[in-house]
Amino acid sequence: MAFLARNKAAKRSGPSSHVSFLKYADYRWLKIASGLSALSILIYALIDVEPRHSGNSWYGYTLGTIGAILILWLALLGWRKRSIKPGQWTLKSWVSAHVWLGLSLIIVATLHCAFQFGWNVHTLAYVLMMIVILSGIYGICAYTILPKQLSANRGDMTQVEMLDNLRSIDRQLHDATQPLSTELANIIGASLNADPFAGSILARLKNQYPSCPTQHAFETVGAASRSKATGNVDDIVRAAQLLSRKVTALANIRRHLQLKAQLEIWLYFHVPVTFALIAALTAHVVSVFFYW
Amino acid sequence: MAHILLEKTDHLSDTIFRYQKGKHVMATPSQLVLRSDFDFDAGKREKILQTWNDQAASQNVQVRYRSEVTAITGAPGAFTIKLADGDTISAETVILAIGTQGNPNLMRCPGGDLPHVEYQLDDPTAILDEHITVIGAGDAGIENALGLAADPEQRNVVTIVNRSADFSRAKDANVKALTSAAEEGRITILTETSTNRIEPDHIVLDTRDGELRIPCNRIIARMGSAPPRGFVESCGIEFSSKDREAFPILSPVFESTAPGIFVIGALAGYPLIKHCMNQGYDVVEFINGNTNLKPADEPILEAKFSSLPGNRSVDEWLDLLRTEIDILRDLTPLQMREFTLDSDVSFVRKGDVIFDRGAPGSSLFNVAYGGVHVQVNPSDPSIVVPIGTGAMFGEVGLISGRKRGATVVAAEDSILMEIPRNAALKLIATVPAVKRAVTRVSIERQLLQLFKAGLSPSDIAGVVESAETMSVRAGESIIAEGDESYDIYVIRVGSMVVERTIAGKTVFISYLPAGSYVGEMALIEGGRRTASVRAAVKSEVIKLNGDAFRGLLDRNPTLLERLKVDMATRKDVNAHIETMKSTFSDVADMYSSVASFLVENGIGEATDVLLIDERLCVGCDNCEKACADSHDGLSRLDREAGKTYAHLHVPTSCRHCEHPHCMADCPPNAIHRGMDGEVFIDDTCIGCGNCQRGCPYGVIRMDKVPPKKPPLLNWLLFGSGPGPGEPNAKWAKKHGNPEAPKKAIKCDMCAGLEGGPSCVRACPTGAAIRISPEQFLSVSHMQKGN
Amino acid sequence: MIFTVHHVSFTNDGREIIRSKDFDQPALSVGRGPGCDIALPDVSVPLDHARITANTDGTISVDAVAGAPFMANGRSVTTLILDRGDGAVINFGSHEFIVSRAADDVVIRVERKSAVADSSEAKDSKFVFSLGKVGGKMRLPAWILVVTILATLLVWPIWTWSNFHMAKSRADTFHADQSWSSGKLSLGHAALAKDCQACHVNAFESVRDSSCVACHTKVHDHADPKTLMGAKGEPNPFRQVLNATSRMFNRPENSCVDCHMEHEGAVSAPPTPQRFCTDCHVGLSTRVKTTKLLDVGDFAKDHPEFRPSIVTSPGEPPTIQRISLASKPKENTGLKFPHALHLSSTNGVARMAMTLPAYKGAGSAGLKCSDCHTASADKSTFVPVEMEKNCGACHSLGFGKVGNTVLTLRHGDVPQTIAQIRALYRGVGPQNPAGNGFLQGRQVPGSSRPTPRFDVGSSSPDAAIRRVFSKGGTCYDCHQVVAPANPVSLNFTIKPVSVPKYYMPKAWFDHKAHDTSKCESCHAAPKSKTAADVLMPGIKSCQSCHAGATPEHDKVPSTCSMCHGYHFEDPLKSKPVATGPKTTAAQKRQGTTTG
Repeated sequence: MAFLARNKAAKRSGPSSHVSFLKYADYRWLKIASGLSALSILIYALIDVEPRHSGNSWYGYTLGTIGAILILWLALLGWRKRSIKPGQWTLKSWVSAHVWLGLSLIIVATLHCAFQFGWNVHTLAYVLMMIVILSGIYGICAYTILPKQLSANRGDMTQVEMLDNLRSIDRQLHDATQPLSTELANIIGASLNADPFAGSILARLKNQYPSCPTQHAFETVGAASRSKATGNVDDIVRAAQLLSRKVTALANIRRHLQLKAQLEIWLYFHVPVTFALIAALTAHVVSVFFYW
Repeated sequence: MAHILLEKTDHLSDTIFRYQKGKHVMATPSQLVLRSDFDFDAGKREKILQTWNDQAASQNVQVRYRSEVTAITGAPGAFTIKLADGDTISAETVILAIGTQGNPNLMRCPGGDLPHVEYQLDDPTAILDEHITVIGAGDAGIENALGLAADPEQRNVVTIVNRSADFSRAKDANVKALTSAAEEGRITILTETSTNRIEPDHIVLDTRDGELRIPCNRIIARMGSAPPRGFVESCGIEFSSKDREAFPILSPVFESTAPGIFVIGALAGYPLIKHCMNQGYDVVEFINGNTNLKPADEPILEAKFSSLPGNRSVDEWLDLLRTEIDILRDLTPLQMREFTLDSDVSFVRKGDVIFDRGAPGSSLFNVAYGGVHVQVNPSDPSIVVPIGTGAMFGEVGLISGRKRGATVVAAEDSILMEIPRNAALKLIATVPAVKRAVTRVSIERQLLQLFKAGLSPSDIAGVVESAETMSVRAGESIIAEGDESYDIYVIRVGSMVVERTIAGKTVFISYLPAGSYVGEMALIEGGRRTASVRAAVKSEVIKLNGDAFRGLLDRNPTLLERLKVDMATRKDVNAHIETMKSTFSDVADMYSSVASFLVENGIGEATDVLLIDERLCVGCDNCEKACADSHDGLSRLDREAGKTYAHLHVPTSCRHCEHPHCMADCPPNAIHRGMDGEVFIDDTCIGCGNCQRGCPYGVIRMDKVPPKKPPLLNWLLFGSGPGPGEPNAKWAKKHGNPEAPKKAIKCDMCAGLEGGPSCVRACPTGAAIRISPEQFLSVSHMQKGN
Repeated sequence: MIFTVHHVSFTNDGREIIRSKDFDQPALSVGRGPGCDIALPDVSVPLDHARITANTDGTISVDAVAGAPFMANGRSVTTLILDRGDGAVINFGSHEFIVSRAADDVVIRVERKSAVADSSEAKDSKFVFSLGKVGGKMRLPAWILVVTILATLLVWPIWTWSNFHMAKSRADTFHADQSWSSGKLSLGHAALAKDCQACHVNAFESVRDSSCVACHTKVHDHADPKTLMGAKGEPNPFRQVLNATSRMFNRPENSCVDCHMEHEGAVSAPPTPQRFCTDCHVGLSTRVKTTKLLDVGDFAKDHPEFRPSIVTSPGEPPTIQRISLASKPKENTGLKFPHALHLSSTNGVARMAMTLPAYKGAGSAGLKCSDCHTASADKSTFVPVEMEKNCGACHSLGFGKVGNTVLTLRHGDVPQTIAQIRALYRGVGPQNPAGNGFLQGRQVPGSSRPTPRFDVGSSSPDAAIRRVFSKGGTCYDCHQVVAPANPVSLNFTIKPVSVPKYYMPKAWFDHKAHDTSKCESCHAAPKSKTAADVLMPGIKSCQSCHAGATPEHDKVPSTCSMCHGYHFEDPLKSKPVATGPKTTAAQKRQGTTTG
């Protein structure tokens, strides 16, 4: 009875609410996180630990435990994000919690170590954690600011289309170059053989590509096309036009690359350092109980 | 027995022969047993052709190649078959298995008969360094042209010639591809051009600016094809209706109305290879006099009826259904069998819920025994409209493609027949009586449902009489602002947008889904139309004569009240928009422009669409990865592709249209609407690619399932495997099975997965949202400042 | 001679397309120019690049026209000769020529080796557009960091530990496990900074007392451990939870480290928090029935009146009782010493003091406390008063003179004294025709007129001896003399003198810390007419400044540990840490303390 079965079909989550991960569930996780921070500060201020606050007071151990659990759980986002199992979870809620609880970790961990720092494994763990959190803060900013620009820059173009566009320009440029003199051909050849995605991380971030062969070719050939001296002017003009198209296309791609780089760069700190942090945390915890 | 097989081409099984090389051919329906003496199993084109050719030889089938039949005359026992080459063949009985392909329209111009004029293109990649002219810019023509120009290394010079100025007959996707190819200089497009004459190595064309003579080594004419119907009818075979989709009227043994001539295969309405082979077998058996042979699908039917009370035989059941159910009366036993095969017959106890209000579903129900109650009023289930034995219900869903409009429960123990959408549409198309019945009933019911207020069928009889259904092209308007008409329109299929011109700007006011009505203001208040209403997508409306309706209103003050209430709310909306215009003009502009953008992008006919707010999207592609990972490694969504307006992005993913274009032509009927309203492809897909070609939004892809990936943790820690999401082509190729068949892949809204669509669940920033157009194209949404 | 040229190219899906052409001519031109026989659409090739010539002798020569070199069999050349039957692989720009011979003919296979442009090569757009293209994978750095950290900060320290486990000591060099130190050790333990295992012996075992007593051998138990357990009252629920947790983590209660926390900075061991005392001592009697101790709480409110140890009767040994000052106790040390008399600034004592060279400093004020009570080296207490040093100047024991030498009785030796006097009369010692004259000028200090001490002429030695020990006699002034029962007997004895060394042996008092205030402000000596007075100040006078752990602003915070020590034996040996007001404030601020 196919259609009867239908009525028994599991009811599904309704239309997804349209809010950013920061505002998720009316700032639920912001509230929880700030509650946690406020509470820990309050207790820290109220209780009188002899001779002074430190990680090995009962409160120190408590905060430490909370912090450690938080860190491990926050790190789990990397797994959650990629393991798409059915279930009543949304990554947005996870990210929301990740962000806000992650920020509250600043308070919890600092109170845990009670402002005692030194050249030891404990402070190392703390520093690593702060690096992770700070990079995360950058990430939040990037995620709130950049997407608009990214979308504005690419319009309706997809990356594949950008690449195809460049390819077709290159193919035409290649053909247009055939009748040109050897030196012009070599200059354009340099542009053709250059990898449009080459360049250091810095180049991508700053969107500065000094000695870009295409730019060079564009200028020289452009100049050649304006000077009526050379013979096959039409061919040169055509090449120049193609080059200017390529320069524009390339500029568009590189702007896209820059924005994507700015959106991704922080992960290069956030993720590896998180692993380092977990290692340091392990060392920290083991050492504390090993030499107790 | 004495026989001869007449083959138009110079080889057997032309259809499969024309498949592209190495194509995987499916053998569905799998539950159907194969009776034919020829073996048939899913496999590669070549393998199947091989087996059949061998077996044809071994069982010494007598074939006459290059024999195109032009006419069949005579009577049973003495038919004369005239061939194109002038010969005639006489036969006692004739079996037509000519399919629906028909013959291509030929070049009529001088030189049209030259050898380098071709009507099909088997392998575009095989053609090198040629000047090729493709005539006709339908999908076939464009696809050939693109194929020829696809690879610059082939160095073909391709020209496509189109009689008209635009490519109205072709799909957007194809047109886009063509124009971009032209921009890259790979193809030359000549519009408003016709062929003047053809010379060896050249073709002369009449263009807008005079005659044009271009080099041409090969001409590919793709000017459509004439369906074989003409020929078939000329043999004295009658069709069930004038309708284009209609099929010949056949007896249970596939004998046509012209005694002695049997029709099997696609022409008989059975596109699947297995069917055809069995029919061939059966027909031959019948001709041999083996009359008590049970059809091959007997066991399937038995299974269907097994759950029913009172153990009757299959034939008894079929008979009962046919006699009891009104719309099935005129069916031939053969058609009856066929529809029953597609349908679902089941026994329900008193009080069982057949379907709920708002549940998706587009199948047609018929009461074979007993009766059901339709709960017209959601707030008070006690108000019911009874539907008795023989009557149908659920037709509104069938026609509008919308969710069910009312809850239906069994009034007593009943036997119901559920005919799924495609079968029902086929039924309507083939049996005119059914069409009429359905139309009438549906209009009546729709009105009753629409203007509740305790109307009875008799009340609205007059209006129904006056009603006429009109189909409206996308963008065409049914009401123009300022008109003096006062008819009322009920949207039956598709959807409409209401617009007003404010300060010289057209402002989007509201979106009307199927099942709503419009035009009451002018009728009730008199005066000119205050807004224009145009179709968002190809739609169908019921036009109710204004005077008839006014009469109805006079007789039913309650109804008038209802309408006034509705009208008031609409007026509020208008007022709101106008105030918005005057105060926050830009907000209103934004809203209306966004709305019209969405409508342009086909949200109008969508039931559930994925949108991406690019103010939040960081381009992590987690939606795609999630999609791939929750659907055996293939993403059904392309985040980047698609239009963007005001940071609102409509990615390339299925909109689950009300009337899915992909369903239109699916040989194994593998595309259905699921229990969550999703349109999905089940695994009987034969990979023909019709749906892909049919989808105007290009959201269906043909691909093979990639190999299994190593566990996630291995990738996270040691980078083994391609990582989350769809594996890149290289990896898939390296580890994949090259023999694996390509199948049609499309969004199924993660049906059955707890938590709903993965794309939305996996969006880290909340950029991805799934909405139905009513939700989005509503003023409340604008008030939220979106 | 015929050249057959196969132009080879590949479709996107890798199909090979060969376009062949025959040239029946002696030479072929190669270049980018469309006019060339073999036109190479290759921007890196000159318009007219090379000639391939079939020479009459069957050899083939390839020559660069414009002089631009080409690659032949991997070498850059401008000309190349192929002998009859030889083949070659020649590269013009990105095109490869494979020259071979078929009979007399020359077959040249021309194939483009690299795409027309870099962008034309297959690129995985998702990859090239991501930062990963230039940034690389994150996995490697992550692993490197993880391994490095675990190796240096976990494995290495543990390895060190295992190396020195159970070793007597460790070399005074860097050891990996120092990276685990959570803070500087206190000054007292500074020497152990590099020897973690001095205290941390077993893995995952909190520091045990055994480690402490290994060095701190003299420390005695505060009380019998059992009693201690009893003394601790039922802890409050919260503390119970904490204790439970401690037990769970195998952390024994009442261990040294409970009170003596370490790694709290390079400072001297901080004082024990008051609660460690009050936990037990508040209401102790209710828990330990047998105890003689009084219940004690905060000094300000819950501290009983002092109970100094008072000598009630001198002797060997003397009877010493702890009597609360509240009950105005009298003491009997065996001495007669009226403080008031000696501290008067007017009487004879004062005047005599002025005449004596030793007390010149006294000036007109007479004697001061410090004239007899000299502070100890560290000024924290006072050295015992000595007869010869502090009294002898006035209270002379001289009884005769030989020449200028004054004969003095031996102090503290009764038989000797008697013997000396008898000797005087037996004529042993100083001869006497001179009679009494030599006694002239001998005066009892303080008496106005000179009186003969010994009337040798008029009396027997026995009478002289009896006189010495009787009222007015030299000994009798300061000591309690026990006369013999038999009036004719002469064996007098002197009651032993027992002056208590400390009145409050269970507490520490630092006079130096109080040197700003006068002695009299606490000790009522000037008014004390008799030696029986106990001059210890009462708790009131202390509390006037010392107001418990949490005093109001102008008072001195005074926890138990200010005066009392946990392992308190001899006040001089184990001096508890005083917590003065300044230091306490400082301690609260940056957690350091000073002794």
